[in-house]
Amino acid sequence: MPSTPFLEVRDLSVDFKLDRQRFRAVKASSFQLERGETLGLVGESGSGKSVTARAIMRLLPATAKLAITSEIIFDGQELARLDSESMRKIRGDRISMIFQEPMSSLNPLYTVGDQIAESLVLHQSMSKKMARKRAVELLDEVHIPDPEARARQYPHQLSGGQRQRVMIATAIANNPELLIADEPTTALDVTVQAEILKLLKQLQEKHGMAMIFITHDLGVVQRVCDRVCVMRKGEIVETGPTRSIFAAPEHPYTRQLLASEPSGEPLPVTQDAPELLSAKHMDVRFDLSWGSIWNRHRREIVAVDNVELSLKRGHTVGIVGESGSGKSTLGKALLRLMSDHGGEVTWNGERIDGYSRHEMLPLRPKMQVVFQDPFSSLNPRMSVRQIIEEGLVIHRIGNAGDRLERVRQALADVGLDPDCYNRYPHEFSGGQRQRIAIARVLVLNPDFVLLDEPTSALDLSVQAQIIDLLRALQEKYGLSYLFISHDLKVVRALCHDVIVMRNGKVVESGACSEVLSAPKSDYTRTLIKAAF
Amino acid sequence: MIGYLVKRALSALGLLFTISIVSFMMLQIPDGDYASYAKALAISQGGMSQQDAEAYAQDIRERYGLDKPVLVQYFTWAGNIVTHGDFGPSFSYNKPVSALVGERLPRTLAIALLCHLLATTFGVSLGIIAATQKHRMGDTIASTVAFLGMTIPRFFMALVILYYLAFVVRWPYIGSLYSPQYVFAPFSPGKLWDFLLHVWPAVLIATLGGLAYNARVMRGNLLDVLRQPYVEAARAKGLKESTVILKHAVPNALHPLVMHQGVILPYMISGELEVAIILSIPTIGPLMFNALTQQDINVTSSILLLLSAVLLLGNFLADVALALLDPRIRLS
Amino acid sequence: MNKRDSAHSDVAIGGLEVTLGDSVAGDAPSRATAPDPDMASKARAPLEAAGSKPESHWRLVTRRFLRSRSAIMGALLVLALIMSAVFADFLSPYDPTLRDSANFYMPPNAIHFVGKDGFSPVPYVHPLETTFDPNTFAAIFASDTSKECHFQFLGQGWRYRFLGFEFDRHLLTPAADCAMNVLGTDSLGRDMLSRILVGSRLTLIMAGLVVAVSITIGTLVGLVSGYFGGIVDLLLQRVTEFILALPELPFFLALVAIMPRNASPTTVFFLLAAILSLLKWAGLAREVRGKTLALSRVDYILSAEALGAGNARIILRHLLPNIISHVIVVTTLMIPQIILAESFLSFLGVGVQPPLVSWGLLLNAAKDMQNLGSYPWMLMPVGCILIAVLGFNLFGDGLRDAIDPYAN
Repeated sequence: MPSTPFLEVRDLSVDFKLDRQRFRAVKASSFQLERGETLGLVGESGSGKSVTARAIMRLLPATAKLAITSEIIFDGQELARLDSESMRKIRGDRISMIFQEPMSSLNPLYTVGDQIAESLVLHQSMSKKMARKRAVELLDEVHIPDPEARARQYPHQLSGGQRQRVMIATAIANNPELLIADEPTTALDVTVQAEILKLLKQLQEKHGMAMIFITHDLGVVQRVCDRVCVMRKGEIVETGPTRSIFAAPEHPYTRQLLASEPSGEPLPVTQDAPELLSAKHMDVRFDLSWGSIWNRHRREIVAVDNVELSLKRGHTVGIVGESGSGKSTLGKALLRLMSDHGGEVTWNGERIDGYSRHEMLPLRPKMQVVFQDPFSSLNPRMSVRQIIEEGLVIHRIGNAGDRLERVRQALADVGLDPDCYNRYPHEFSGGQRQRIAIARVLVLNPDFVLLDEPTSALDLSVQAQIIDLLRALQEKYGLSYLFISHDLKVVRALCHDVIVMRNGKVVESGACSEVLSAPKSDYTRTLIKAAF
Repeated sequence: MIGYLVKRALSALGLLFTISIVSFMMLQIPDGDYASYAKALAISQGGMSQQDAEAYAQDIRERYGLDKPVLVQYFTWAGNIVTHGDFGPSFSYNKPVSALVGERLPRTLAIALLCHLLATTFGVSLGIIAATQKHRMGDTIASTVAFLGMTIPRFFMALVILYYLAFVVRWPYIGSLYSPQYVFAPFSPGKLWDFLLHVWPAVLIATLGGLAYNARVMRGNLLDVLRQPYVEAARAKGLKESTVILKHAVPNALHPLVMHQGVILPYMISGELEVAIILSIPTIGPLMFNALTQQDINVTSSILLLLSAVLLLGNFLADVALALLDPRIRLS
Repeated sequence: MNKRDSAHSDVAIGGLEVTLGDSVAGDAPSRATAPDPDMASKARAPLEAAGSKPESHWRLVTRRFLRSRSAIMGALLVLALIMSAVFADFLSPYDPTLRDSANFYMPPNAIHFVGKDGFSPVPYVHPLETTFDPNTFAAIFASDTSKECHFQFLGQGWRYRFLGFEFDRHLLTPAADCAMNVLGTDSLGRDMLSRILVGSRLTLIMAGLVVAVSITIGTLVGLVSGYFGGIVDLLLQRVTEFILALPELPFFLALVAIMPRNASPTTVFFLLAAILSLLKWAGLAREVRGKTLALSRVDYILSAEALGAGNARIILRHLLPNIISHVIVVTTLMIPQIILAESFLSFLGVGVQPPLVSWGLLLNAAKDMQNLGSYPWMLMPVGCILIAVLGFNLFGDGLRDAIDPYAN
């Protein structure tokens, strides 16, 4: 008989009670973990992966209940029925956890040093003074420069990446045997993501920890995990070594998940297409001023700095960058959704910078926008029909009957039931809402659509569908896209040209295939390395 | 932080200036000038002769510069207040307003502060119980108490208590601050006890409303904070649930409460005024009410100005407290 | 970056119901108690249930509202209050202005349904016999149980005008030869029940008037201030701040002190409404401004701008509908505050002036300690105030929970 595994989860089921209804978030899941091993829990939102992690930590919310059949055996000890006091002593000592939101996982009122020390005082009965000293060492261990000074700082004085490092320092403070990482890099920029993953790997080897790594990002799984459990709607559909799962997935869902990595090629285009939109010397400055009349502060932030851009009819230009790179601001300035910018914007040979809102009005139907978050881009008080036909109403196109026909046509174009126009946004899922947002744009027969991270808030499989839809619509209607994204994989699947931005400046630009295969700048290289 | 506090202080002073203009304007509204008004009152209520009254009016005109332009009048008036604490005379009481108010304002503030302290302590505790027991017994009870405390009108409670004390138990300590034997006595424990016997109904009623308000705000804040990831992170460290609540959640939930002082302080003061008027406790409330029935505008507008100043000061102190409590403000 | 996080906070601003659960069918599980997006979105169901009715925001609100027992109770109380105010004349057995020098300060007279002739659906009272204590001359009342004075159902009584027509029918008409004052009489022998019923009108009209004025100003100022920003915003904000810095009760009292004494009761009534409105709009303006500021950054507003929508369209079609539910909640919760303020001022004798009747003014009779001791039933209107305040608060709380289930 083989030795018992380090952690064994058997028949784990979790029930939630919401609004007088019960439903099972995790259904009879079983998996094992050996010492020093990394297990990936992969799934889309709602797959129950976070709930599983919290069940092991026994940190389920009051509305959730662990089914009695569930067994969680950690190093020979049954955690599922352990009394809460003994469980508390294990938490943060032998099993610790890091979370997705580094911005809000640290208490804003205490210094980071104190927050690390708290864990040491608690589990190792260290004196406060000793614990503070040890906290500085731990900050050094997670590669925070000048740890002495940082320990005395408050969370709001640290960047997102640094805060996640502090969280990791807290988690490893008591040399845990098991570390549960719940999407630890999702909220971070790709370049920071890569550093954090490296750090986690390094610490794991050094301390010999086992790790459960929860993520929706298959790229990360491939890089970090030894074995993978694929979860879907609360069930583990497939388990196996990372390499074999990626090479030969057995379950159809796993195959679908792997296939939903953005793929395909941008449509073939001719290079002599006429120029539709171009921009020269684009500048956007935010004049931040705060305080009262008596005590005024000013600071100028250059969000977009001397950017040039050219978009030909039927083409797609991608703008790539991390948060704060100014890519969304550039998009809004091009569409003249903000009036305070410098530089020239030319539309169809016509200079439109300096146009007033009124002068822009006739051009509006031709240049449209789709935003990132399908939950906030549809007015919840309007029906789908009202949302989609609003542009037609504003521009006085057609009578009521024509408009309804066009709304139905647009719904059919984006792959929704044309008869759903009387429904309200809250009745649709995220992907469906994004389709409605696209229909709202399509109904006006635009020439150009600005796509501001249209897939970032969506699950992977939905993401792929939306990209396919965008490509199909481009072909059908000869649309030109400006595609803003932080995800190089998506950009590769859709864009002909790409512009890489950082801190408001263009780092590199050119044909997409060239930039991705032979990047000229170090920054682009880092981005590519982090993405693929 | 200094910049933040200076800013807050300047904005408070700006508001105080605006309120002083409003108070001053109230003095201008009645027909005829202030002096002839004083004269009429001196004759009708003070029983002065026509000549004496005219001389009195002339005296007032000179002292307050009433024959000068309005702007000058304002600055004379404001200057008198700032430099001498002179708010002018009260005609109905025939005393300087400063003496009248100076005697009573400290009592009002003492009672209101006592209520504020009790309301905060008990309200916050009740809010913590309600939030941590969400949808269980403790929450139901605490929320019901809070709802009733917010809903039942204070003057209703005051009237019922007054009726009960006066006609059912025949409580002897109504309508004054001290029993006769203590009025002129120096401070002693007995005097304090006597004082409490007189003011407890007012304290009880004003506290109940404030307590309910605090409990409601605290419950909401704490429920928000308990949803924050750092609370879960604190639990994941293995901290005791009581430590998680008291060390990590509650201090964060207190901040909005400190910011709410702008609403809570006037609520407490109004409570004291309302109850004191009904129970005839000789504080600012009855003074203001009597002055208003006699149309002694100098008294009412002075009280308005003073109470506004007190509230602005209270808000400023809350800002200071917030700056000290929150590193995000302290280190900005 | 923080994509998911920003997505969800935007939702919270944009309109909370969007996350309520994506099911088309009636009872979608709500996301309210789920702690994180991953756990929460499991409640999501695809748009499969064809044939179900589309559900607008207000239908959702109604459904959630009807789930709360206390909210329904509040709604019923409010409804009862409004109905009794509208039909006050019909419900009043006596003319509320009719004086009766023989029957002043009569105590409440209990009504009975079961008498000598068995149960009768129309109640009766035993007439009160008044004797005087030979020493103190205090009136002593005793029920004469041998006699029964019966009300008449829909009988003819005092004449009143309603909707421009004259009527004289009442729900219950008292017998002419019998003092049937169910809640007693006041110092002039007027029937308290009738006066309370008629008095509810003024109290509610005052509340309605003040609320109408202050939400109009408050919403307008808040929207303009939040949407247009700039110097207009700066100025409006200073004014709002100033109003909010005024201590409410002392400010009322100070303003009442300068009200002209010889003004007619109607003028006083409107001045009072103006004073209350003056103070009440500022809080709402600040809240609406905050909501507008938050909403202006939400993508659907930007989308509308990209479609070419003008300011009027954005404000009326996009901002207002998303703010209005909040305004309605604030309004409902403001009504009891105004009822209380008016009642307190009238109780003190410095609010509504006779011959107008309001609950607060009726209470004024209990302000005198002597009266309160001898005729405690003068406190009766306080019960009505209590019911009104309770009703509106329950209703408002229920409405808030239904509109915004995430705000605890």
